[in-house]
Amino acid sequence: MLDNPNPIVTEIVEMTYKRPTGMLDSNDIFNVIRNIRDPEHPYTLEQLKVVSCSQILIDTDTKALIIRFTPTVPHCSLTSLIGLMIRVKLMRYLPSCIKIHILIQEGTHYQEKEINKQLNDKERVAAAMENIHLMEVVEYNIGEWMQ
Amino acid sequence: MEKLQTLSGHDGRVWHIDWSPSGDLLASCGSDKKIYIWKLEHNGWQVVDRLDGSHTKSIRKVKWSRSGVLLASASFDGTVVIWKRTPGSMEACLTLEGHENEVKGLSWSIDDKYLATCSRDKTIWIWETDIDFEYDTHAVLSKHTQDIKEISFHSTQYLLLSASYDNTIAIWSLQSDDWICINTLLGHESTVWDIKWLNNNIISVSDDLTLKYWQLEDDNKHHLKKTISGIHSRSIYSVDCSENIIVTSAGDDKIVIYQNDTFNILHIEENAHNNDINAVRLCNENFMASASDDGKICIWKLSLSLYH
Repeated sequence: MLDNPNPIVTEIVEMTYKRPTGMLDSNDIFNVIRNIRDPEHPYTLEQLKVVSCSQILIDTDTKALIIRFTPTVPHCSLTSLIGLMIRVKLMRYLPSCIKIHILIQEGTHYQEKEINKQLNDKERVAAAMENIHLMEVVEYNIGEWMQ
Repeated sequence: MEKLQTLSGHDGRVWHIDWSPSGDLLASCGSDKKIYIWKLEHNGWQVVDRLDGSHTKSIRKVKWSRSGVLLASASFDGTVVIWKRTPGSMEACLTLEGHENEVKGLSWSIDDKYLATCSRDKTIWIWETDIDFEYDTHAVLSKHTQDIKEISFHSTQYLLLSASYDNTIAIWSLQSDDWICINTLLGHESTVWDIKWLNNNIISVSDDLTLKYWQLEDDNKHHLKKTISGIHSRSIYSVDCSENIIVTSAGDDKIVIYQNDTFNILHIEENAHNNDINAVRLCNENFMASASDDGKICIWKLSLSLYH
């Protein structure tokens, strides 16, 4: 039984934006995560509006990257998996000194607080990344994938 | 505070470090599943042993026994390995199996009779040793509702602290062969990452960005006496203390030194590492080591002027 049997799928317009200088901006970050596959549906996180460019915040002073994402339904049981996928994919693209915060968009999940805590506990994340079965799912969904 | 040396060797995050009781050796462990043993030679701190192949996942903590003869390692693979120091090397002697998943903390009792281990499985296991160097399960303690991040035995009594993802600290006491939870300390608003005894009092650090001081009072219970906030801007992962100072390290790449009675800040070392600092451990009043996600260990000299 799917958590959300009928997700809304958005038509994607290709971005033509090119960044002018060497600084990372939210478009660069968005380009890294937009094509992550949803674990439940054959669509990307961008198509399901789970992630968007406007939900990405970069604070260069504190080397922090804050990413909010929106589960398609507030009882989605795969929310922590989606958060983990976003983190794993970003960790492979970004210098390790950047502090990545992954948060659920406020008010969009019943267990927002609990899942946010789990997603940002580095010890739990590290252990999850050594779980072979979980990582098989993550790798499948974050790999280069197009509809 | 002066950086004396940067130790490179681990491939990836260094999770923890621990000085041998005499201070002659430093053990470190990390996500590369290896333990390094470092020693001060005429040309600085050098690797004297590299322990490999005993754990199949990240090694989260290493702790020397009080005698300095044994070293225990806790791993995400769910096991604890006990190593014995022999002239010239360390030998793996025993593997303790029992936890269901990641072992996150370890502590030896005053006489090395008990080894306590804690895990994501929400339990604390107390292992008891005898003269034949066998380890039996003495108790399995359940109380916390989430994973237990660290445990710490008192230096003279059979008292044990546990710090948890459930935001609480529990105090356990050995009473007629049973380990009883005698108090639960509420006050932290997020995960408690590290705890230490400061004589009979307690200091703790947390993901809520505070350092808390709990004092033993006349009712024989610990009460929250002080909260130090606004110093670290990210999760505080580690705390250590000596007769004169308290030191903390955090995800903001900073190390902070406080006077241990007034809690006045004596020094802030910004950018002490290039990434999160997972552990900071004092060797004595003069030396300290730190371990980071940047894969490095730093040895620091503390200047005496700090104390005046």
